Amino acid sequence: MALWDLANSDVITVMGSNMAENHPVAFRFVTQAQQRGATVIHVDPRFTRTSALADIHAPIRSGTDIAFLGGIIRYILFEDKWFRDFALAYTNLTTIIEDAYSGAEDNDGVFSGFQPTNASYQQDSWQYKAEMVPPAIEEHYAQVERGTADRAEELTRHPPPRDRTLQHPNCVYQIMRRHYARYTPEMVERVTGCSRDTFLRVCEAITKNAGRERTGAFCYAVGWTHHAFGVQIIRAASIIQGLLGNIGRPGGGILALRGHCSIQGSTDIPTLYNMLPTYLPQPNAYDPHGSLEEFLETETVPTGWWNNLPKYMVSLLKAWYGANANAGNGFCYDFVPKLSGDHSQLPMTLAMVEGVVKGQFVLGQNPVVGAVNSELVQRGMAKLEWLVVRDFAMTETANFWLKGGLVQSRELSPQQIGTEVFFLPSAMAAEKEGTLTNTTRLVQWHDKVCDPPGDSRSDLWFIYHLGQRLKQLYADSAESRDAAIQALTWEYPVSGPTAEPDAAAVLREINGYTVADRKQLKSFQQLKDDGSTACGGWMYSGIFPDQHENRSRARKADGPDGNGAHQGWAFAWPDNRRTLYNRASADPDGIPWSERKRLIWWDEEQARWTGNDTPDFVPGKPPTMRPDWAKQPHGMEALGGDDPFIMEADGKCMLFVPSGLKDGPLPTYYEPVESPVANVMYGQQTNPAARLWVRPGNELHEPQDPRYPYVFTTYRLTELHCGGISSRVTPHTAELQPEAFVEVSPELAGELGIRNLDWTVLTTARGSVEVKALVTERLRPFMIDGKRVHQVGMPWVFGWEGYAHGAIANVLLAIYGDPNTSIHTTKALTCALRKGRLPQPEPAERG
Amino acid sequence: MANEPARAALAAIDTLLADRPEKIGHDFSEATRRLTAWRAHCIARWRRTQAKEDRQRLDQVNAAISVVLGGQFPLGRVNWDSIESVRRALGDL
Repeated sequence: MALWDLANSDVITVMGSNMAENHPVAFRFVTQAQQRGATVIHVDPRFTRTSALADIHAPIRSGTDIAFLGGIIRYILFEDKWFRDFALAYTNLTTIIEDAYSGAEDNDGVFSGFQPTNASYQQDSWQYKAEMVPPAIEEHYAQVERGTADRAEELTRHPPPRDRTLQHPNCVYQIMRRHYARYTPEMVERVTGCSRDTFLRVCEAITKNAGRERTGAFCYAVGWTHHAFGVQIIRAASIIQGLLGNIGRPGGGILALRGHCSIQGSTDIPTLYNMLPTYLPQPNAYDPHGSLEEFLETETVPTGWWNNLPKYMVSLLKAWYGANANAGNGFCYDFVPKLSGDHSQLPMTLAMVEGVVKGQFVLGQNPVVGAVNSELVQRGMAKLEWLVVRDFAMTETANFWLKGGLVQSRELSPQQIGTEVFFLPSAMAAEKEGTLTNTTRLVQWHDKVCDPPGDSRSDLWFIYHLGQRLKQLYADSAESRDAAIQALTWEYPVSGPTAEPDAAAVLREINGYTVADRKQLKSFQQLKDDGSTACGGWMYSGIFPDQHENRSRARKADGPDGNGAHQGWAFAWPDNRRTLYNRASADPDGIPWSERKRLIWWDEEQARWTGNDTPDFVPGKPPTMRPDWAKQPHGMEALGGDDPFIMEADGKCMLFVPSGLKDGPLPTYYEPVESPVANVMYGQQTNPAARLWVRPGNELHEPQDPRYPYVFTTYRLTELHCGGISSRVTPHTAELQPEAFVEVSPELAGELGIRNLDWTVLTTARGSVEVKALVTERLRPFMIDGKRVHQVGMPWVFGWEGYAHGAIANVLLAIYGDPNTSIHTTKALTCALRKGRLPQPEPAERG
Repeated sequence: MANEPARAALAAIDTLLADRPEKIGHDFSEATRRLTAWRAHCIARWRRTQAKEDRQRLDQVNAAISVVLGGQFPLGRVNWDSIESVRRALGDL
């Protein structure tokens, strides 16, 4: 959904986010909705400015989100509050799952297929009965069993087995009823600490604002993602929205509030190790990906939109390798790096500590402040031979060797750190041109206002010239390993005294063009798999449809008489669609569910989908179209005119996920890896598939460890942006938040004898920090299953650079990951807290 | 090839193959560290000699690190066949 579409919501639940303080621009649409009569709910451990503006604040213990959301799912199912016509038609609620499936309720917290020896799941028993459902392709890295491609062909022979009476014991509806039966309001209170009454008020507000006439939205940030089960928290919200019909409709959806201004763009054209641009899978050395042919045969989903993968992949290779790529050499597929394991940031940090990694580039990041287990990160950096840091002000990452924690504690001296650090000045946003892609896929161009000072250069300049130098370095090499760099197309026009590359030329390449005559493509529908088109990112295709038409520059907003989609304002991928899956805004016959919530509909006269948005559907496919199974249809031919979820193999909203998730087909409540209490839902304490990398310097706390009795969470501040540097070096923002602090409830402060502004020491197995206490009623203790549990919170945005100093909260955190994303945990762990200060190290000897 | 870093790395991989730890994490560290030390040795030697066979040895040890690191931080199950294959190849050096 578009940010501004929040204003059309009838109920907005902000959870896992302090939206008013950290996303104030987006939050104005929440207040607009509220002014129109919407109910705003804030579910959060702390009472923040978001809570103050909400109609309902529901405090929960950090990390208990799935218990809360699972409770809502139970309420919807058991109180029969689901949007029946929507869910029966558009979700997999009626689909029958394999007989061998057994749920977490049968196995004390784990699903069938769990393999304790390697803490992973075999997913065969989660499949649709007698059919293997391949995962949506962006979830590829979740590992698909060998032989899937053949079994997936079943999807082209008949529709998945369904029971519209919902009586079959293994239909998704019955499975979900069994799974969520224990998530009662009383259980929600025992686990989360939120009172039963408040919880039920939330349930009522959400469900009464659903159906044909009303819609609701969820807004979340890293308060959901930064857990060892973060993906499943978001999944739980997806189930709620699927059951209530809040997807593809005005005011309905789930809004991921991204933490940086273009972090969505860096996911689309990814800085992620496991994806090629616009969500194509990165080949894996251990999968049947030996050749392009084998890769495409394995990875192409037979049914649904992702059946177009070969067109996107071949066009990407043509964009990268140009004339060197042809059908005879697999379009240079061999040059694409193959995964051999988890190469994400957390394991690579550990690999640095092992001495495996020799050098590192750090652009747009400050990992000494922003990455978990900061001192282990610094230990890894101290083992590098070289480190390149680009930023516009000195960062803790660039001078860890001089002022870092290991140096301050005298464990290492600068002379003992052999890392050669190159600190290069970078241009700020206004000093370069380019695009920003925001949380709702909206790509907006920005011009350069002025030149950067001195030797400062844009990141584009740096990457382009680095590439040019590498190409020159290897130009005469006869080594096969250098052929990939030799073959790479790296030709962008440059201008000015600094030879700045043309950012528009990069965007033109991402958009795609015909190879023969270099004509810009109008949209991704023109892409081919024969090498005649090149495209750097299929989802962005259409953003630059002519040589001189850059749609990300468009700035025409709707007036009062517009339809509210603002389609003349910038470009939303794909194809300028503002609301994904918007076919679901009409009923199976193509008629809007209601006049109030209409978005697109089937125009019988024109035989097309039409309305207030670009249809996210085949434009001329009538609602009545049904696959002709006798012809064994593939691609979109295998989905009917009433299957809105075109990126899924069966065209349905997946309430139950048969493939692609590493920790279960349904969200299940586990305690955080570090927790002061036992899991009262199941015998299984924590996510059994979580990625734990326990090693010296990265020890974890056992559940209920009395040495670490308090729940600890971290967060950002309005006044200090992201890792803090940009605003800590600016006096007028630094003085608004001059130093680090820990928020402590009056109750805990009383128990520990801490007064406001006293020094305190926070300790975990990873390290200790000292900060002043902010004693505040914004945090209150929770009663968890009869036990009083205290929670403390600390901003993670401080460091030793700039005008606003303070302890780095991430010193306290550990490196472990969500099994699906390897994302770290920053929102729920445990710690110790005492009044006082850390012992001061002995003065260094004069030499 | 007979040198201490190589012997230590091969012994560590042998231990790994004998134990076959399935859970990701610390169990692989010894093999990774020993291979890394062997690589440092190979780098120093190649920089000294510039000999083709020393470069090839460095390439193979580097490739072995990729495979063992992929076992230490796997995306699915540990690929023991590849680690066995790497051990055989390194033994031939």
